[in-house]
Amino acid sequence: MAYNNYYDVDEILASSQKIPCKFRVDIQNLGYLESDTSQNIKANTTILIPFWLAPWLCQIGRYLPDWPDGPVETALPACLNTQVLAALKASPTSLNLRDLAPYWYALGSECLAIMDDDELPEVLALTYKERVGKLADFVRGRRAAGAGEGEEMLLGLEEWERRIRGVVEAGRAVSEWLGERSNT
Amino acid sequence: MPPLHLISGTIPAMIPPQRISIPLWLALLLKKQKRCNIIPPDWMAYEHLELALKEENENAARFTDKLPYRWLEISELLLDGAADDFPQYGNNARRGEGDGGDIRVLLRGLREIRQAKARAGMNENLGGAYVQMTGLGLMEVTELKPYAISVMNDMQKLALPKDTRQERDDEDMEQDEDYDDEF
Repeated sequence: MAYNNYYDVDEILASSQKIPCKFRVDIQNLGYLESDTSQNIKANTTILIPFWLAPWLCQIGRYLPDWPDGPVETALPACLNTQVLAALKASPTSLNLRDLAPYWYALGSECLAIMDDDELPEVLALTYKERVGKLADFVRGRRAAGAGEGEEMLLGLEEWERRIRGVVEAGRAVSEWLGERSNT
Repeated sequence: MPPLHLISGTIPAMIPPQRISIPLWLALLLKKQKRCNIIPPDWMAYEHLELALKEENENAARFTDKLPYRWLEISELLLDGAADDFPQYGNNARRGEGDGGDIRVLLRGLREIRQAKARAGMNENLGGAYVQMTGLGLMEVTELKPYAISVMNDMQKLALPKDTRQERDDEDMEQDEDYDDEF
């Protein structure tokens, strides 16, 4: 994960989202990650690992001759499973991304980096493009059109989308300046 | 009025009724004090703006080059502070006082069509390699900039690994070729 800013709260929150990792090996004394009772992590156990840690676990494989692919095998998290991707492919605006994961795009982008998936890059880019385009149009036209239909969309905004919304609203200052002046 | 010596340069003495070019802020200030008349720039003439609007309407893909870089700001300030210095056209001429009303309508039309074009271009090119903005004024670019930057950043984050994977493949191929050369 590329860190832009050490103290960026958004980044910290985003990187604490978890993805499922299946352990290829037994790990001594780390059983508490799975549950309170077990002592060791057994091979073939799947545990949710935050993605500040998961890529690292994949990468250390190159220093471990016994498990060149790393001690864990990562899988796509539930919020990026086949059904979700299929639904987004059909209609990018149909889902409430916020309910799937507050930092859904960040999670997706991270999964791109460590996993090979044929559909994921395409769906991510399409979804983002489509949703952000609609969002920007809505935010810009909001004053004129009046509140109503798009409110539901605003409630389902993912964190990256929220940021875009703020940015678009900032751009409206120009028209406000012009509008105010021509009214006087 | 005696010459003004300022950091940005000296403004020569002003002797009525001679014409002189001075900074916009000073012109507007003097206008406010009713000590000068502003001669509108050539590009703000009705005919010129009409032409620009026509060109803008005819070309969906590009912006007209008939407007200066800061057209939005200058026109707004001039019409706000010195509307009565604009020559009168059409109906307004008969009423006597010019108020720049016709020019205002033209400018509003220009702004709307250019904005629509910029947005359309933006939605089309989002996530592409670049967004075409040639001919856009400073204010218009400023308006779109934060949005464009954020979206391009995000798109890059969502697309980058694919490129690196591609690069990796290319590197592998190059290495293979090297081997071929050796044997």
